Amino acid sequence: MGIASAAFESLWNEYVLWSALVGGFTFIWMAHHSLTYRSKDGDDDWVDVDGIEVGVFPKHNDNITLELAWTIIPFILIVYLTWISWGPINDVWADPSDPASQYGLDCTDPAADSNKCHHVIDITAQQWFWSFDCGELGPSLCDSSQYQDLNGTTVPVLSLKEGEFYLANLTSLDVTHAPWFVEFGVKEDAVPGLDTQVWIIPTCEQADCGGEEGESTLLLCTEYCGDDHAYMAAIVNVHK
Amino acid sequence: MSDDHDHDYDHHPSPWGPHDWSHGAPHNSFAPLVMSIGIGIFLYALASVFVGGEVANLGALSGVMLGIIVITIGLLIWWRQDMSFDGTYEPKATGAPFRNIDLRKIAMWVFLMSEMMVFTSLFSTYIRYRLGIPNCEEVFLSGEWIEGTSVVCFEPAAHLIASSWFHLAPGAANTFALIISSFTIVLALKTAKMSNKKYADRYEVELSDVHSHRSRKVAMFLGSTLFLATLFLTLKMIEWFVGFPTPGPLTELNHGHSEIASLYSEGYTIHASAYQHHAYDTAYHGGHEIPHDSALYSMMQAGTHPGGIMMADIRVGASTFFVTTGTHGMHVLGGMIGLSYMTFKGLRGGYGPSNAVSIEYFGLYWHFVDLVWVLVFPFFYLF
Amino acid sequence: MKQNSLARILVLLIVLGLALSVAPQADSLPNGIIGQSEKGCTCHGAVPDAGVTPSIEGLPTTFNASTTYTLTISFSGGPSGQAAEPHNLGGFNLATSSGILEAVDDTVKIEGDQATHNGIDDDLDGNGLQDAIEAGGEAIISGNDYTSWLVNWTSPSSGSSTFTLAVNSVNGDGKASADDAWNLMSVTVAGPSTGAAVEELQSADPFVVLVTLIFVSGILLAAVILYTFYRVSPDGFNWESFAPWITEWLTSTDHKKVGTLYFLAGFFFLGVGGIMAMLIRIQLAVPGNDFLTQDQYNQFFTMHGTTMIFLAAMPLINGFANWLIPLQIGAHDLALPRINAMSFWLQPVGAILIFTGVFSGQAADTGWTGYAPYIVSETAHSGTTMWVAGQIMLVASSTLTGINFLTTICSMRAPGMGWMQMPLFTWSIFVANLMLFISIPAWGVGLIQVYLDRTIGTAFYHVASGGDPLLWSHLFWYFGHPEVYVVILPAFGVISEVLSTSARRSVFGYRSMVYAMAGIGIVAFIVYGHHMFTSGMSPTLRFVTMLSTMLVAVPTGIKIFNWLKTMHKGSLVYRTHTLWALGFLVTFTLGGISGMFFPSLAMDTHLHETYFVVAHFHYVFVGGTVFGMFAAVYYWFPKMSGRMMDEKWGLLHFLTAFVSYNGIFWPMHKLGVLGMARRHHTWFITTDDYTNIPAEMASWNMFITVSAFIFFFSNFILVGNMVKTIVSGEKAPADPWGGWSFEWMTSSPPPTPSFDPHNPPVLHDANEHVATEPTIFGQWFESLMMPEDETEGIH
Repeated sequence: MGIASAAFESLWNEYVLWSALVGGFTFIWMAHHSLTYRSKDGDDDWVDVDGIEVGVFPKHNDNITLELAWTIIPFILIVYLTWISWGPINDVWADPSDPASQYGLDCTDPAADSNKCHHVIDITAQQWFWSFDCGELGPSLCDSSQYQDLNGTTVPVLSLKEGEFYLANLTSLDVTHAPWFVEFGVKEDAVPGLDTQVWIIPTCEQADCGGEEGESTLLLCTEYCGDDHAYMAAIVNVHK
Repeated sequence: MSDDHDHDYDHHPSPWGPHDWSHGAPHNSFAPLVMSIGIGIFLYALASVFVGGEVANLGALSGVMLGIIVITIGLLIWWRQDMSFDGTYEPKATGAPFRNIDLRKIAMWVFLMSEMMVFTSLFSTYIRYRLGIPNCEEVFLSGEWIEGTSVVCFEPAAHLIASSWFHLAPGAANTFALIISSFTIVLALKTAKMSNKKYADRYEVELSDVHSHRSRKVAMFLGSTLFLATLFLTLKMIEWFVGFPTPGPLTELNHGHSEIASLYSEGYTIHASAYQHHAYDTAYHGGHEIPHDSALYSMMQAGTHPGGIMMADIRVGASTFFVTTGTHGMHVLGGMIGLSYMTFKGLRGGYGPSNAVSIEYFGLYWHFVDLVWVLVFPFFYLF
Repeated sequence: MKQNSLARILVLLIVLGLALSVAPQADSLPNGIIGQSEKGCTCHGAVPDAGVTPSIEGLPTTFNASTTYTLTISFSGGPSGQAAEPHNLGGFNLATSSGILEAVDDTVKIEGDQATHNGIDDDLDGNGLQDAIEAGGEAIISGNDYTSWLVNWTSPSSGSSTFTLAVNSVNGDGKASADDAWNLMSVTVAGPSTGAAVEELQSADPFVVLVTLIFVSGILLAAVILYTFYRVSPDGFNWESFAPWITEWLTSTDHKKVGTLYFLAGFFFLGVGGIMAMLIRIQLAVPGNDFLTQDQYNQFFTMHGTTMIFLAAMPLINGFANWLIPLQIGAHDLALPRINAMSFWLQPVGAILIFTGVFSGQAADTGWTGYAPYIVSETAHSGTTMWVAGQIMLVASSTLTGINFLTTICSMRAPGMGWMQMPLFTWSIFVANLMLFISIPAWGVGLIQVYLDRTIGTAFYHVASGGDPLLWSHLFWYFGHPEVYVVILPAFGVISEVLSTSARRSVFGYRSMVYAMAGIGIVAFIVYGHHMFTSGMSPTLRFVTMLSTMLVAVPTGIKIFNWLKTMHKGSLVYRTHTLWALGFLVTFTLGGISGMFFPSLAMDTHLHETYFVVAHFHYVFVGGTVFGMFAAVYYWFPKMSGRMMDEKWGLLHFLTAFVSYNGIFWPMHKLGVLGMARRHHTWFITTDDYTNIPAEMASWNMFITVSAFIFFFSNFILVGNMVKTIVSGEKAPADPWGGWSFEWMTSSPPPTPSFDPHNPPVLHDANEHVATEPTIFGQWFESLMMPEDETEGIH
């Protein structure tokens, strides 16, 4: 099972690779220098390279070439990492009214392309439970009638179909909450007085639809909202 | 110059004051500790008096008073140490870029930078809400309301205050008061800096009398500044809570009203969740006809809107108004406290050319307060 | 003499006053010590309602040992009365602190040690009619079709038993919603009071534990102070000598004394914050734990964050800044000594305000970030107002500190010390304070808005009136992000000093170090949106913030590489401070790298508010700031105390702390990615029903808890070392490590005043071609300044 989403995983792997390289480079350098340049016999035996003396500003110790090098090279790396992070932003914040976006228009919209359209559902947050509203969507696309026990609390169950695109309209009736679809790797704040949205793209890689492991995925609240913040969860099922 | 209160302060300046400034700044002072404790008591008690928008425990007001008393004691200790300051210790900066400028002046400018951030944040809040929440006048004219149900809208105080010259009078008077007070503080500084000879010539005073005469004159200017600041806050309180009667012969000009209502009596308060005003009454609308090109007018003509008086939740607008102008008022109050001390010191003969620069430090603060008002006034009272 | 007794009386009053203000309030029973079913009936989505009346009948006034009683659990009121049919009327949960519960019939079941109704979901298609009836069959009776149930309770042999009953009144539709209502009740029954019975061990309320430990720490602190006083003058251990001594400390404006006071406060609160962390870790060691109730847990993590950042990290940094800035620039004191003392004293009083909630059990539970609208909602605890008030005092304190240090560093440098000849620690404090006093007033305004909202009832964050929660987020993070750079920059300064002195070289790339710090200081203000990527902020702003945040890695990287290059061709001497500096390089690099994952928006949507964030910021806070402060302690303590520390203890401290620290925070990265959210009272492991953290991965939480305890106790080695050093350490020379800056010219400890103001030290420069005039920028700036009026004549 992958973590979060395909976009997340590929970015994650790339970042971990570069982190390991940069980290490794730094630590090897540090290990080398901290061992090689030890003082041989303690305090008194050292070569005064920079004129260290109390009350005297020591000689400058610099090398413009090196300093430029480790300004420019990390900068290039940063630009590269930013560049690869750019594309997946569209996955996260596609414009729902743009027919050319990868999620198309709302499927109920007559102008929508039936091969590339999204379904709209409503998620309402309040202290301390979630309410899902599938609207007009049929039970095979979205079902929110079930409840399940989760470690002593009863939580709602949301069933979605794999491969479909869902746009969740988020609202809150009291304080700020945030649904985190853990296995899909998306979250967005549900802010009172503000309408926010989040795209949910369930797949069977993440949710293991009806597999050996726990077939349900969790939705957790990830914006602190008071007493039962930890128990404000939901179950999200994905079926084929 | 030297005080003879304490016989052992030569080697052991008292943490209660007074202080011999030839030794430099005080090494010991009870003022910081006492003032901190006072502020803590004050904030604690204030939060016990008011909870959730209501008065929860009026008895805790005694705690608030206690806090103010302790803060005052701390301030008095501070001033007792400062009273003998006569300019013998006024260090100047070394090194670029402030070479040879008084340290305390640099500190005052740096402080004013942080104060600018305070008012910037208050203005940001105001702009965000002013532009983000629909204006009550627009909501009214759009017809999207029904009598008896509260709509959320932003009612700028200017709508009430700038509606007539009478309403504007206290605010305008305040503006003049502050500007003149900035002038009087400069006069105080100028007088304090005047050399003995020049002063003696100008005011025809014996050279030996110059110091006390000049200091008292400085106190007079400082006192005028204090008076103008007090006037400012008084007019503000009248404008907010009391209102005032229209001067008799001018009643005609005030649409026949014999009184100019305070903001409070017009219902413009931070708790106004059901604000109603004659300006939003279809029958009156401030004495003007509803504009014919507005949606409300069309709806009323078509019979789809019954008219009536709009009820509004204007709490956010009122909160930004009172807290921003209130914060400015707190700064004026702070200035008044400083001015009281300075006037007192001036009367006791404490100011002369050697320490006139202390007045300049205060002057910087005071000009800043004035400048903030010059920005607050149009943004909150006129627009 | 007269002054002495006056001072004495005043000191007594102040001590009494402080003691009284710290004493627990009258109503000190925290709301929330209910024991088990703290969750009440939010399980069903219901709202609490006083109109629902629960009752337990059949309880004796005093129970007999080991006797079975049949209890009738029932309720009246609530929406169950409106149900059309006698179905889906309600439920209950009964817990008892001792004794055994048993079901009498099928309508009740026992789960663990609690009794609850036995319900079946008899309306699977959710249309409000029982499926059995729809299918033409008989109605099914299930436990949730009743409003009263029978439960048997067998009493224990002694003690008393507290029953907690939660009832849920459902309106018959079988759907969990806010149309349902619930209520709680609690009743205690005492047992036989024969002395021979064995007392059951009650588990300690975590709040009681915390408060007790705070008092114990306070007493320890007082003991340390008295002991130090004794050592200072063994013959004068009497009140006559004590009063002036303590008065001196309470009133001093000398930067060295104020610095020491900051250290005392900082270390004290570091310990208190650590105790809170231990309690949190006990709670999180296993899944589904109830060592802390939700209510308590929420207060603990809020207070832990607040204490560590504002009452531990900032004071420790200020302690070093106070001690060292005047020494390093060759000044006799700070520019405004009394204001400096004021900055300090605002802190303990502010801390008392913040902690009043801890003593009443209603501490702030908003998280240290205090998000609106929760912070102004009624569900937030009453202690939140005091938390806000205390923070306002700390804002004032920080603003005054910023003004003081900025003025001092700009204006009181010794001859020969231009801007580009200042030690890097001084530079770091300068940039940090510049950031601090520009950013903190914005938060101060936000705090005042919240304080007024919670007291007099303004509507800044009242959503129904148009208030905007995002306004708070902007005001807070505009401060909050520069704040974290404020706490790390001084650590950078320390590391520069420590590494360069240890390696006997001057820091590599002094100029670029300065520009990097200045760059970080400026960029800090435009990246704060990265805390708000999922907040509903405008997408354009989010995107701009992503770009700027990625950029901030560049100056930070420059600094790390410069430090490494500093060691090149050096003669590194390994002291404890060296070890901590190298340890810092490891942990801060790791923390910085993990931080880079967040600006990548598609990853942030997964990682935000998880333990990955917790891992990152603890790596940079503890692995960065705290380790930097530890290095600073070992480096400058000999200068401040006049005695050398024990290097063996130092090595032991480093090894135990460094290893256990990584054991705490490294596993958190993975836990976060796998689904452990932060600020959660407990966490879930994968079961047959759903996927979350795998059970084998989850056991890392226990490992983290154990490591946390080791780390906590390892720091006592440092405290012990400091005490031992003061008592019996070897006398320290003026310059034990071979540093070049001015503090090493003075004696250890330095005299008061630190330097003669009329005869400051002069900084020489080993470089040839040193500019003696300011640069073009400096000249231009100077041309803007108006020279002082030559007074027309003095008297």
